Amino acid sequence: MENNTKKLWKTYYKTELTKIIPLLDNLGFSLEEEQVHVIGERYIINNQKLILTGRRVKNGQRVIIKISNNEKFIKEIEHERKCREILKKIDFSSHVFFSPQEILFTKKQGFIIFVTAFIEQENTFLERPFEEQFFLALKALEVQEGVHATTYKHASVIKKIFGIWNAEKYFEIFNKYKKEIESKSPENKKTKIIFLKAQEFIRTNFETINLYSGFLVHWDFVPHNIRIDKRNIYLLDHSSMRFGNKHESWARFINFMTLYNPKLEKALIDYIKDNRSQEETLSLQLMRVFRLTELIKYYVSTLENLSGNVLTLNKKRIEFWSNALEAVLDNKFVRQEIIDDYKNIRDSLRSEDEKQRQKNLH
Amino acid sequence: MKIIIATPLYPPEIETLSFYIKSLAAKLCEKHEVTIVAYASTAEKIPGVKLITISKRQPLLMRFLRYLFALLETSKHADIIYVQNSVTAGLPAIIVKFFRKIPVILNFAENEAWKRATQLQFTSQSPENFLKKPKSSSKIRFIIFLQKFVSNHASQITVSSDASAKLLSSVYHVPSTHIKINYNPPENQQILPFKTNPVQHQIIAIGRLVEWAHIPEIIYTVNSLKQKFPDIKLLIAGEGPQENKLKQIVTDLNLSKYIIFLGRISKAENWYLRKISHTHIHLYDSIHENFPDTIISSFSAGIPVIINNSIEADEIISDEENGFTVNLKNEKELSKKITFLFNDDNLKNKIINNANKILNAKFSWESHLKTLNNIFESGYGK
Repeated sequence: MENNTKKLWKTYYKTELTKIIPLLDNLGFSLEEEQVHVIGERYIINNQKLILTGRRVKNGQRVIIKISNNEKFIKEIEHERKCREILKKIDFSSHVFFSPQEILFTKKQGFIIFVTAFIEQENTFLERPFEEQFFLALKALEVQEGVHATTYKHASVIKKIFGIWNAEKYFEIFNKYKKEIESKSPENKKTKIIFLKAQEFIRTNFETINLYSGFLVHWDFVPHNIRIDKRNIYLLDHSSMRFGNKHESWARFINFMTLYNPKLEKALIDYIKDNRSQEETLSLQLMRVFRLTELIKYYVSTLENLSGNVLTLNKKRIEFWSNALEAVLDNKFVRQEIIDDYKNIRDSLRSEDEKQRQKNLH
Repeated sequence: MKIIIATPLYPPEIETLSFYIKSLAAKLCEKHEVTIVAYASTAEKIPGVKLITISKRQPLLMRFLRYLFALLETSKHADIIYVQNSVTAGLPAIIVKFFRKIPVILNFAENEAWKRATQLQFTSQSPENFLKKPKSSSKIRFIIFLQKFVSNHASQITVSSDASAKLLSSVYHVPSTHIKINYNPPENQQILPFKTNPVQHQIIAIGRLVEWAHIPEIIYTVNSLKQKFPDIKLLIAGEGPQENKLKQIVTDLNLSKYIIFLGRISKAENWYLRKISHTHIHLYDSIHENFPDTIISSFSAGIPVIINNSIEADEIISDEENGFTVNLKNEKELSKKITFLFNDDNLKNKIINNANKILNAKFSWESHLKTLNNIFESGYGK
């Protein structure tokens, strides 16, 4: 099974490349030899969209090329560009968002091609000193908190482009995730109990979720979706933005740190507890539950197409993130030995390609 | 007393004014009956405080009228309205004053016209020059007109500095007897999840990078001091129209090792830098919207402040007592004062202690509330 999905991806990639290379050549771009965004576990996502690294022929500038000829992903790329454009125009944003410079946006031979500057960075986020990580994270999160769709004019401008989520919407989507998880892994009783608890937790706290809604959030706000150049933070993925509960981006980031930097996870949670209102702490906890459920749902949805090491690994991932969900619901942290065990297993199951893809990613 | 606090901003909005209102209401409700009337789609609750919100997510005229009626209804048995800012909440408060005959105390917390014009990049003028001769759109000029109208019809105005009082008096022709200075309380100290270790010879300059802030002179001073203090470091935090020009100066002088531009920083880092650095050079010699709040924050964090000589500076800093006043255009003078601070720990400690005393006496919640209660109880303008 694994081989089949992987084979399909490889075929797709190779076929597309034969069309893309001459197309890009005509537009003045060349592709780099090594393409980290197409190897490793990338095939599991199976999007009909390629993210490639290349260079502008005339000046050698490094670029990121997003390209697709699939209707769904053409729309996705168009949407991302619209999000970038509207963010520039939003006059109620008192903060400036840094976005990589747009170099080309065009449609050619059924493909949509979106080329932006590649942002060089001295170090990845996780390679930086702890204090720097903490303050960079806060800066990026505060920037998002500074964009609040407060007025009628604001709401009408952004509604169509970004979408606005409130407690009812979060609950509706949570229930969909829960249903999918239960239907695809019905044998897991422990998980069932955790999700019932999570469901009740969200259901009884609509007021708190709505209290902090209407803010700009990047729902996939993690180190690999940002790049840092001279302390300026560049958002790489604009398609993952919406107006929702302001702690959604905090939640995604903190959940990520549960695995990659538990010290930073604790520092950010302590910061909120010590410097913000109690409602904010609760709101963050609610969003962490929501985001973890989505993550678990994602891994559950991949199982049917996998086999071998990757299947075993994704089952382990489901187990690990379920542990994290349980800990968040109990206001606790995942024990270090659970994190270490999981990391050991993960590293033993990852392919060399995937290890290569992960390099310099976070 | 029955007090109404009318405000355009309230948490979860993250503006300084929002947090001020929440803290103020929580303190006032210990002695008074407090109702907040806020423009807000959602709002954080305060035990013991009645909260009336008017959603902003409706057309301008609609929300204005709803706010006006809410204020009119709430003020039936109220003794006083304490209104924040002079436009969206200020105008309804003045209309209500006409009908209810109750005093309206206007807290001129922000210069909304200048703030908006700056955000929209209509102007790079200083607040004083902007108000005297605004280069802006008709919409901004209308906001200025409203500010003037509301200021002149309020029973009394509170401002956070003598300089602001004088500006209001000269530009909007508000009688000085109608203006009372009530210094802002310090913002809550940030609690950081790690220790702060002092860094020797580190200077911070925080604020907007604008022409009138004398930043090139500060850069030249660091250049001249680097021989004497090879570990000297200047951290410049903030953004503004002068950013590229300043960076070029640093590059041309080969000072990248000594001067670092941090760009926008978080609230926590703003506090952290004050906690670890040796000296804070205040970037403004004008009546900036945050004056003197940024200095109060440094008093609170225990870091000596150097400020440009001006009437405004004299209001808060006594030279070599609780800070330093210098002519920022004079590099030699600035260099001398920085050297004093770097070399003399006794002087540094004296300045920090004296600043702390002033903080407690003049810029605390106690003194802020005392002044406010005196105004409320005087029944001014009834």
